[in-house]
Amino acid sequence: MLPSPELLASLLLLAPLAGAVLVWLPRLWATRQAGERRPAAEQRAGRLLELVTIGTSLASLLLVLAIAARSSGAEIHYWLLFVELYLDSLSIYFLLLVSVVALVAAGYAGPCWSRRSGADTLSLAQFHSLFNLFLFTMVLVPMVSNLVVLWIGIELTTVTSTVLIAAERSRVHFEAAWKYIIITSTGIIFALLGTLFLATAIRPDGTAAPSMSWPDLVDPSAMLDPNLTRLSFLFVLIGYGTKAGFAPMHTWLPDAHGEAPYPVSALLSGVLLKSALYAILRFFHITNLALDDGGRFASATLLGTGLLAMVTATPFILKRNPFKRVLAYHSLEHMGIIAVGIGIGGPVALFGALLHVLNHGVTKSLMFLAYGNVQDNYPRAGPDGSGAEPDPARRDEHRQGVLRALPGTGSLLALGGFALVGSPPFSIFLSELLILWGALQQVLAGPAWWLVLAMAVFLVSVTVVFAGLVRHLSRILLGQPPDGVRPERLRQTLPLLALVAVMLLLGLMVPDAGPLDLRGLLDESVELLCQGGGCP
Amino acid sequence: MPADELIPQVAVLLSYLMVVMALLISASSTLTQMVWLYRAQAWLLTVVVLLTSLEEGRVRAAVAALALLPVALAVLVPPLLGRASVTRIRPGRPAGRGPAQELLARGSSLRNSLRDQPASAELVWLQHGRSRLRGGQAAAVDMLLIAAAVLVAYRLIRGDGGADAGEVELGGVVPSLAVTIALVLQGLFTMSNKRDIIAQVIGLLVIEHGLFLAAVRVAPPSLAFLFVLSLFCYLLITLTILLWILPELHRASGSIEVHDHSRLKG
Repeated sequence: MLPSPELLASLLLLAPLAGAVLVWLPRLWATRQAGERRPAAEQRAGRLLELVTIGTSLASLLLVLAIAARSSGAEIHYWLLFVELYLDSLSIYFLLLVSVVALVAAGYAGPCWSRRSGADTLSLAQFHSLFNLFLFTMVLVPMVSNLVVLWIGIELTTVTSTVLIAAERSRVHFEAAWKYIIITSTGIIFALLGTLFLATAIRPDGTAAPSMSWPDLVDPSAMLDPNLTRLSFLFVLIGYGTKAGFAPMHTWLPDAHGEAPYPVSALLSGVLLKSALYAILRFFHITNLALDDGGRFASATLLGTGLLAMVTATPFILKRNPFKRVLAYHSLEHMGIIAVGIGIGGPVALFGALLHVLNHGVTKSLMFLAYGNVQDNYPRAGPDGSGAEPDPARRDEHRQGVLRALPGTGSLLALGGFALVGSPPFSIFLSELLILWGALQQVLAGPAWWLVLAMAVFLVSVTVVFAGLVRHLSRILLGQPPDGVRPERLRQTLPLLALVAVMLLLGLMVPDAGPLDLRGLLDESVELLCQGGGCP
Repeated sequence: MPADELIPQVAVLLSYLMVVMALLISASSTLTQMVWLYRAQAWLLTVVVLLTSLEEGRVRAAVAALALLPVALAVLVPPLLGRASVTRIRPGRPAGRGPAQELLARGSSLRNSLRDQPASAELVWLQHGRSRLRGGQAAAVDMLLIAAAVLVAYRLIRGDGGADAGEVELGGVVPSLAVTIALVLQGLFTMSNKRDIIAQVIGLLVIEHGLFLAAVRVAPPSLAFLFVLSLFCYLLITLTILLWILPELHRASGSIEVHDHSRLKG
């Protein structure tokens, strides 16, 4: 017998917080060891830290599965201390994404940071603590009901992730963290102003004080001023869109994703962008209901935003860039695809867009983590063996011949790459097909030239990106590897095989049975978004 | 004129002055002028917030609590910017220190650096603060941005009973909304027009002032506390920038010029 959904939700929120505190205990124990026992104690403490982080993420995933099973489609609405929590299918779906990606990334956090930590970097305990705090902030976002608290959650993700991006504390890492915090914090000021304009848009009915809880704002009795709601949506789209990596506010994205330690890159790309998208979805719902225009304003704005992101990303994916930057531009492309799917609207395209959220999260984490194996096992300096810090643009040029040097990782990169560009039978193919099918349905139902144009841009962009990624992958996978590559270990590839299995499964079907009724979660989320006229 | 009519008018008038100060910040040619004007703008905001807390229908404690933020910024930002403007070598992390000892050591180092560096920072500030556009061009852009802000605000709330007509007099909301949007746009322009990272941070802080003003004067009074709370949380970001990223970036690169922080390209 499972505990109540409220208790499970509270535990889900507390687990990463507890993890962030617990990781300090082994460190404290190690610092108390004397003399020659100290190095062995520190090694043991490092392993314990790793276990705490993995345990926290595993507990989070199990709790999300339990909440999904226990709530069975009903909303969970309660107060935890001073915070109003509200979980519906859409929240649980995003929590699932957070916990799946976090679990796999947590498996790599320990090995990654053991290699990189030093006198000048974050310590092991600091890194693990921040990793768990970052997870906490991303778990908090889909759970809160109040839009201002939602903003606080997103803002806290910025603080924790900035420190993680600059964890190596070198010049390029600080540069990446600087651009990230300056651009996204400017963005989230817009998001708070958007939230504030929405508060101003509330027309008091004289019976109750205005509420910023989104379930109240989507209530049919809520009266919102249309002009201010429109302005609010635009500000929110700019604000959270900056955080979601939409063009033209995306300029932080390649730097931050490219320079962060690879488990953090996996979280940034796989989850953090989607946390901001989640916030946009809640405002999308509210705006559609308030304007009562059949979703035209918000959908058209998102469609345009998505197309702009796709068009902006394409030339950068073709350009010769370090591989993690290429992956970051792919995130821009895929966030564009998701926005286009939501903008097209209708049950099929919305289903495809939401499914794409999970598919992209899983596939992109696989790519970042697999490339992390390459970074870890290949020698750090350039092929000349000099210890000098290479030009950031050229520093992974010696990483070639991965298929020969690390066959397991190379195969995973190849599979992930084909999945990422939308090849069958992987999951991204299915979600992209659903988005296009949704658009086609609408075009067949009535002439809509803008949808034909959107489909054309979509197809051209996806095709060009396919060619671009194949070129980048062939550069890395083929050729002669340098000397000094350390052989890969089973531990480096096994968790990624699980991700490949998920990608294959979701490419063939969306499960509606077993430990999780994913189909049910998605159907209910689509129904929720359709209430606001998102389904023309 | 009765006090309950006079107070909102004085508050609005002072918020207009904040826009003028943002204009002067954007037109400044040295960081010294920018920092001085920023501090003056923060004090002005404090007065506006305190006056707003005296207005009828406001949750006084919540609004007055927000006055702590601009006061804290006016007092802390200049020395923190000074600390970030002076490069210094960060000592390595000594082995064998517990987390508590480490925190104490860092706190004491921060206190020392805030006390010791203002004179050397002044020298750096006098040499930086240049703009990409010429003075006249920058002023023209600023004026256009202010005009756009006023147009948007008046277009949105035309006194037809929209927005929160029942809670706040529209006469107070429209100018404050215009000032908010103007400060946001001017801050953005300052960030993109200046050539050094300290000036970019000042641009961000000007945007932040716009946000504070909106939280107290534009948001419905019954929700003011919630927005004040969010602004206290936003302070975390400001402190992360001022206390950590900005000094560390300067230390790592040895420069505060924007063009020296573009190693990551493509």
